[in-house]
Amino acid sequence: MYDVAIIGAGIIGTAIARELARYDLRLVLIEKDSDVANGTTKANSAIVHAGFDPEPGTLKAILNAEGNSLFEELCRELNVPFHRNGSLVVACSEEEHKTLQELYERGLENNIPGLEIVGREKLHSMEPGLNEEASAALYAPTAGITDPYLLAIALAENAVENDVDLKLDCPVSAIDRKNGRFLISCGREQVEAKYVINAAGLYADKINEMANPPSFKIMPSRGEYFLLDKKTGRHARHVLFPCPTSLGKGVLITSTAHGNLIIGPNAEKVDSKEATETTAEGLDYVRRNAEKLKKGLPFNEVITSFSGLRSKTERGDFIIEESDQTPGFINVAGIDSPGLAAAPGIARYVVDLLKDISGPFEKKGVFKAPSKNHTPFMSLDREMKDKLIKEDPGFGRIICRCENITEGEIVRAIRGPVGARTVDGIKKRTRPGGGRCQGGFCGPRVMQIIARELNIELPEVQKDNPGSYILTGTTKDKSVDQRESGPVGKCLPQDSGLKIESGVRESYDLIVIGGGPAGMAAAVSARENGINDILVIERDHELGGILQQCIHNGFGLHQFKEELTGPEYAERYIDQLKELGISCKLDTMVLSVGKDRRVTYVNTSDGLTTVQAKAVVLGMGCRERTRGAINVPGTRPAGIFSAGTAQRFVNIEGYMVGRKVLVFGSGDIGLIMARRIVLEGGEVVAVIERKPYSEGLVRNYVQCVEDYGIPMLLQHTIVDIKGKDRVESVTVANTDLNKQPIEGTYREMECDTILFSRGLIPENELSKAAGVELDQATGGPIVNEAMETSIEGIFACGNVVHVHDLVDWVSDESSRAGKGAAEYIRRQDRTPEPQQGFTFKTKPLNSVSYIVPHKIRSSLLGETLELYMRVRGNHKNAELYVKAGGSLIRTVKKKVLTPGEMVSIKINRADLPIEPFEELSVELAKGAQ
Amino acid sequence: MNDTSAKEMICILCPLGCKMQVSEKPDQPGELKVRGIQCKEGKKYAYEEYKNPTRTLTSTVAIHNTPLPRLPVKTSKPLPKGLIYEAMDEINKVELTGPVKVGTVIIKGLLGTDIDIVATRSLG
Repeated sequence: MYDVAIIGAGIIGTAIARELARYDLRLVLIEKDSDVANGTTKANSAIVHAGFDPEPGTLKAILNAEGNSLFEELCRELNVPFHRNGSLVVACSEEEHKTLQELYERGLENNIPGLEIVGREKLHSMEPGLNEEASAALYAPTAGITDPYLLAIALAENAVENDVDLKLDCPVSAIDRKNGRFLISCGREQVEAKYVINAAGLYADKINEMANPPSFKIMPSRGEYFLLDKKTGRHARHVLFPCPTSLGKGVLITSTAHGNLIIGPNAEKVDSKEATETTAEGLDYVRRNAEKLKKGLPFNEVITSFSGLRSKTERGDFIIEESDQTPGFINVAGIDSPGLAAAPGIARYVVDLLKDISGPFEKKGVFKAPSKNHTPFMSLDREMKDKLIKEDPGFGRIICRCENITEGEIVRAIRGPVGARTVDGIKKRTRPGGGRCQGGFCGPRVMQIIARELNIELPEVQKDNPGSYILTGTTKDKSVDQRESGPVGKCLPQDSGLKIESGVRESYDLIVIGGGPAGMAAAVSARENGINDILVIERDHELGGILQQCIHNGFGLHQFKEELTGPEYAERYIDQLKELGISCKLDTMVLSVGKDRRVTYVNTSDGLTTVQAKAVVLGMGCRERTRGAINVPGTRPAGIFSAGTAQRFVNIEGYMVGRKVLVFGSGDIGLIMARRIVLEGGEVVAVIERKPYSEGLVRNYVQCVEDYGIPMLLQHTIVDIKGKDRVESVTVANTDLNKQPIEGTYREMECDTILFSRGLIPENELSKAAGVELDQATGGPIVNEAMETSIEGIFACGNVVHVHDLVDWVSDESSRAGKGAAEYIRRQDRTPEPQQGFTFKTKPLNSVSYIVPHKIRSSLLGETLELYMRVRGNHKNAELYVKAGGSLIRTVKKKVLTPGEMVSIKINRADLPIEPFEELSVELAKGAQ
Repeated sequence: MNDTSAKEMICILCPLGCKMQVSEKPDQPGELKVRGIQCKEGKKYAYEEYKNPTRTLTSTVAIHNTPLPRLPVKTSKPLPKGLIYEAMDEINKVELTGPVKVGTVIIKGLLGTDIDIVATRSLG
């Protein structure tokens, strides 16, 4: 028997539970979902409003002001991020100036501190980059940003630490009253309580009606958002609002507590309480309205879009009151904006209300402070980091490479008082999968950690609520050995002949970052060119990179003059590293590279270490473009993978990702995965391609799609994804010449899985942080003939420079980078010779989209210069002109040119003018489309 | 004129992806008529693909006592296209215990052919 049952574990329910836990009461917190903070709390603007907006005298006005004033202390106590960055309501017209004045006056009535109307000049200096039209603003210094789900989780955990019982996966189905007590049927059990607090958010009306006649109706209002990559947060110093209208506060722009930029929401009435899909129209509205405030927002750095539902009621104000029909039943409903800001105030208000109803209750002797430290590993100081790694080596293993989240943090999230049990639960607590790859790399490893910690099989791991299964079984119907406890992904045995470097050194001649095909070829070539002191740093537990999951054939025809599979190609290079005795560190993540070539890495044995290199080769490869990055609207259920992630599950981990699969995008990985799915007993419904032609190699079209009778729908796109827990169907449509969907051609296709094969992006976060100059066209570093970047002594090669279609060319290019680095190191050891010769640039012209390398030093050029490039559009019987300083030096004829096939042109040094010239250009001179 | 008995094929030798119609010449059994192709290599491919289409089959087999639970494998040489599904059935039956070296024969003489299934990496 409980004194109080709180229904709903969102921000409101958890705040109330924790506040009540200060008293000598028996409390239960009941949640229908498998995690706390799973409804509105998980998808909103995360703004702690200052409180000038609500109508004076309303609960919203009073509790917003009170809640805001409590936030700092609350977040400090619970170790949750909160920044008072202040908000600006921006006026762009005379009419809007009046609105500012009204808001200002309302704010004074609401007792909001520090309000100020700022004029044009001050506004633009406070917030650079606003549109010219922005002429004044209401500045509210007390507004802030927080992380609502971290806060709700922390509140729930502290409540549980103070003896609140938390029941998850317990949807309330009935509330009966018996002998003055409430009998709550939830999940498979019955809970008895003297008082009920209904904090059920979107379902508060349904819960109310289990005990009372209808007295209010929740009208869900959907808001859609864009979330942009980390570091884009600097585009908004403050929370930026447009002037409010009758429709609401409008589309805001703000940094998140984690440094991302969030843009949204729109406001759309929806019928369903589960309608959390995004729509093309909604997102388009958000984008257009945000640009009214600020142009040039980096929408190309969107990592995902999402939507959340607000619990609006006709009353407009919060409903916080005892039911007049049922004594002891307290509704806390209609908590839409500013619900988050008001939450601490609401919790106190509810406690007082309960005291009024029940009579006073006593404070507990001891209220325990939070035992768990949520501080992200990467934001700790060096000493603390070292200490943590010493205590638990799991903190030395990076699992999420976008956000640099360690295994230690993930385990901590699972073992916490309200531990994560699902992939989304981990994401909410520690953010792996919340970064730019959206879990493409870390997803499998996070699942392995969950399975290990909860002692369940991998296919039992859910994305979110029951039914959101991620894997559909094992391949071959054969068992997969349970991983031993300890590290996820065991290293290959050290006696395999690979020289594993143990222990910390101060310096190396050459450090190669990445042990994939690029890094391995660079290391081998540097050794062959006389450099002995080399260290290859690889983040995975073995060398080979993505080749290890590319089990298909088609590799090596140029390098080895025979056709190999990916793993065979990798093993040839691994064998070379073994023979040459090149040192490696596996399971080691590089965190930063400095201009001074100091490399900081972390692993379980060395901890956080900084070493000096004479030269560095960047070979980090690329990542896949995600669903989020291309903004495919719809719901966000389990069953959506990038093709490469699916490839890893199927080929390396031995698990099937789906039964009825649709592939979106006709890139080679997508086509190859379509065949793999069919060969492993799955069904491929179709391959969908927006363009009028297949993007992958002809051979892959014939041998992966046609051979298996898989329909390829050219000039089609996905306009909607349906399914709550797992993908249920997609809506496809024909596309016009601009690759846009055509009205009236929409049709639904049933499937349980979608694989995205929509292109690769060079992974240059380390390069960017080092200050390496990038080429907009390739997304990779600008390099010279030796593959040296704009920073002296830092070289780059392979897919980190530009995405290749043949690994053989990656190896070629990387050999040059290795040789370049070797020569650079040797030059450092000698007295410098005066530079001779001249430097020229390469320039892509007319349908040539880029050329690598970008700069050539004539004195350091070997016998031949190899240029790699891609073209825009398809061209038959094409001729490419190569011009040096404007004069034609070479004509290259090609039967066919497509964007999907990289072109390589070898130019003999002898064909280049001896006299200095500035530009070597390549252009498409002839060719039918 | 389209020959209705002709087999439609796409040449995979270059990005052009020529669409070909291949049929047997009625007057010269065994000889082929190839339409839609421009080069010699393409014709040769058309002959091969018409008479005896083959594919290199790659897959994985279950393996235990190794750091990873699946071992990648391939056919030692291209397999007649018609045997792919039967070959998969054989591959799916395999259950190995590691360690294994790259190149190790996993199935000798697959389906009575002279084609083997071999490991494409070392594991364990």
